[in-house]
Amino acid sequence: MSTSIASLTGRLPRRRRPWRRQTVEGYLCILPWLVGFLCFTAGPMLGSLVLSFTDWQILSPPRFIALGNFQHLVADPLFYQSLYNTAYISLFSVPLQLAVALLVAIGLNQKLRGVNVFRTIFFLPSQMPLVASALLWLWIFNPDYGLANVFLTALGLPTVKWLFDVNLAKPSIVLITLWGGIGVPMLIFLAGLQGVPETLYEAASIDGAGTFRRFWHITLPMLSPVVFFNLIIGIIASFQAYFTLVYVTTQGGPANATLIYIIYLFFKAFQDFQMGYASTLAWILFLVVVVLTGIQFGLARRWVYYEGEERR
Amino acid sequence: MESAESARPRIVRRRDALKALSLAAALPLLQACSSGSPSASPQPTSPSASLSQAPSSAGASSAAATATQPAAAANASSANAVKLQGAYWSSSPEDHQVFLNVFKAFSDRNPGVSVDFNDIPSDSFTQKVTTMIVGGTPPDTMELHPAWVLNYINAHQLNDLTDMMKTDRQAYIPAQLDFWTATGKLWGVPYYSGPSFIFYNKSLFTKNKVKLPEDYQKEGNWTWDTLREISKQLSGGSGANRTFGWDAAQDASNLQFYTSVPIWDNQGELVNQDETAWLLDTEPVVQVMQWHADMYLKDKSIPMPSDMQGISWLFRTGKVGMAWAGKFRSIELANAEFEVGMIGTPKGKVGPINRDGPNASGLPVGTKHVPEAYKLALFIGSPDAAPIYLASGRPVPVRSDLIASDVFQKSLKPYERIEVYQESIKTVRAWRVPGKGPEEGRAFTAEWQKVLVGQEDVPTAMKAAKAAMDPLLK
Repeated sequence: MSTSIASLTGRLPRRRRPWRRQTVEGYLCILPWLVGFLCFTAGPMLGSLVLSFTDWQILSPPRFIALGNFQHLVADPLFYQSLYNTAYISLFSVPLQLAVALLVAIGLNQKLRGVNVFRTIFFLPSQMPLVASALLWLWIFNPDYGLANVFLTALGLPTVKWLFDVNLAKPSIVLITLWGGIGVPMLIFLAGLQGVPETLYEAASIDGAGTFRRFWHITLPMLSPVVFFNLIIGIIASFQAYFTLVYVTTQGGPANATLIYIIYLFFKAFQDFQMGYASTLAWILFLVVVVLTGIQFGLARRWVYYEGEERR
Repeated sequence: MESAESARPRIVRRRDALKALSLAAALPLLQACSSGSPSASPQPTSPSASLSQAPSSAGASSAAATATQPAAAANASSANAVKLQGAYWSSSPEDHQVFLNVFKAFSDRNPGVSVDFNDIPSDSFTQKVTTMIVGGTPPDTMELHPAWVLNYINAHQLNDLTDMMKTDRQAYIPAQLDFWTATGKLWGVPYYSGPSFIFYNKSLFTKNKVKLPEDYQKEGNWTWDTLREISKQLSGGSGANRTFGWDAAQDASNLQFYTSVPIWDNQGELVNQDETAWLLDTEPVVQVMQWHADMYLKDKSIPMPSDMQGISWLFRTGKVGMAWAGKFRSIELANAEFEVGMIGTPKGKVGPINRDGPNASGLPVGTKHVPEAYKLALFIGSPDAAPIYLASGRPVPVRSDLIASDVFQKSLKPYERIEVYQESIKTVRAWRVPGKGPEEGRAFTAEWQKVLVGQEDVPTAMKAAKAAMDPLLK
């Protein structure tokens, strides 16, 4: 029947047309974004995937080498070194950032006079230009004139070389990331804390729960989706976002102690002009981040609690 | 039925509009996407093909002469205005102005030819120029540096200037041409020379009652060992009053800028003759690096990286006795609060053998105006540009006729000695870091830093550096 109507009118059945029209109009509306995504995100990603199978030194045309870059990568000691350095910084900086951010958020969630001023003060470092904060910390950690050593001396402790010491350079970077890295997660924690119903705390108090038990049994479970969000964002950022900090302070030194993955990738792409190999490194980074995120989502089922969710 | 018929044209109009919109959106999308493809990188055209567009090599080779004569305006290019794009880096606003003045002088002598100065910061210069070349819009002339010029030569991205320079090359100091010669061909027109020498803080010498380098030189004892001995005597104090004897170019792992010189003077070589292996673990090289390690760690006469943090040149603060330098540093000392002295490179078992950090103009393949670009390249280092270019106080001339000229003499500050420049440029050995320069530099620095933090001894570090750097020569 519908065939005969279509053949008579030369058009599709009337009831499907509004859907098609809406679809087309919808696509038209998002077309600018789609163009941007295809050209500036998906296109380059696809391009870099293709390049990862080539030897491309920019000035000469790309040469297909199949898995040559991946073979080179397996034998490249700096690949492992940079991966280790990144994992080290990530492993220490992300949990530390989250813990401190949560602690500060709890403090700033108290009903105190002038709390908004403190919220602004704690949030400000995250808004500071990265180069400026990196230079600032470079001076704080100066072995001869830096505030950090002045502080150690005041405590009667021996001075150290901070960023210029192979063993202390990575912990120093972790400390710097803590300063600028707690602002945003703190703000998100603060929003999460304000969403925890007061009635739960009141009920727990009536049942005799103290401050710690209320935190452990109410605040943390209710905040767990927020913690999870901050954790995912923190891990992704730790693999990608410390470029400016490391480039300005140590350039990957001393003796490659702070050669993080993204710096190594930059060196390969824009100093050595090995775009094929750099693309391979980029895709490995992408896979690492995807796998880590996947693991986090897998583990999240065990500890993230969503209000109203039914547990199996 | 009627309503259906009247509705149809409306639907058609909407469809047409949608089609038109989609097409309009898709076209730029396709265009934008296709331009980013690596296959879009231009295949290098044969240099000879490009040069064949030039009127003649003879015409080009006489460009130095024509550049001096306004009559040259009568050439074909004046009929159609030519705008050259010159990619160079300036070191300061004053230096930027010097380039602009030189380009204006060139345009004045060559009516119809103007120069668009693309001033690209030195630290991103190769990135940007490479992008321009790959994007199919190379500059007409580009600054070249020995640290990376081989990348462009090996990728066939520079025009061969051998024939063009056949006549003009006689005017140049031979070592200055050697920097830009590879596989028997010439790829750059020199315009800037920066042979190394030593600035010293005469006031600090006097204060510490240390004999001046000139005195040692007169006795024939101006050697690297003497330099170390003097450095020890000039080092001492603590905190803000601490002084150091020797600023080893701020980084003793900089093979191109500094470390090659004491190694050559110690009868050592950095790479073997056919540039297939580094010789970092050989005795003369290890000796020199051990010498430096001892100065850093035992004598404490060379400042550590942390001592120089945030200071562009520690010597200028008056806390350093002697500093490896080039003429480009001279301007920075104009207002120094101490008396400045100047001495040439010390000798070792042999020598002195000196290094240079020269610059040349290259003509990238794809340059549309080869003859004009070549004229410009010649002009910057020529006697016509000298009153502007040399007066900037930064370069040492690349031409034999300018090294003893009044123009050069006038460009010197009171503490600069022309005989030191003349001697330094005579002893220059043209050397370029072979292989993958930046990667080799990072590998060498990483191993050297292990020595400075006491993690490795010098022989071990040199062996490790060689192991890391040898594959990068291939």
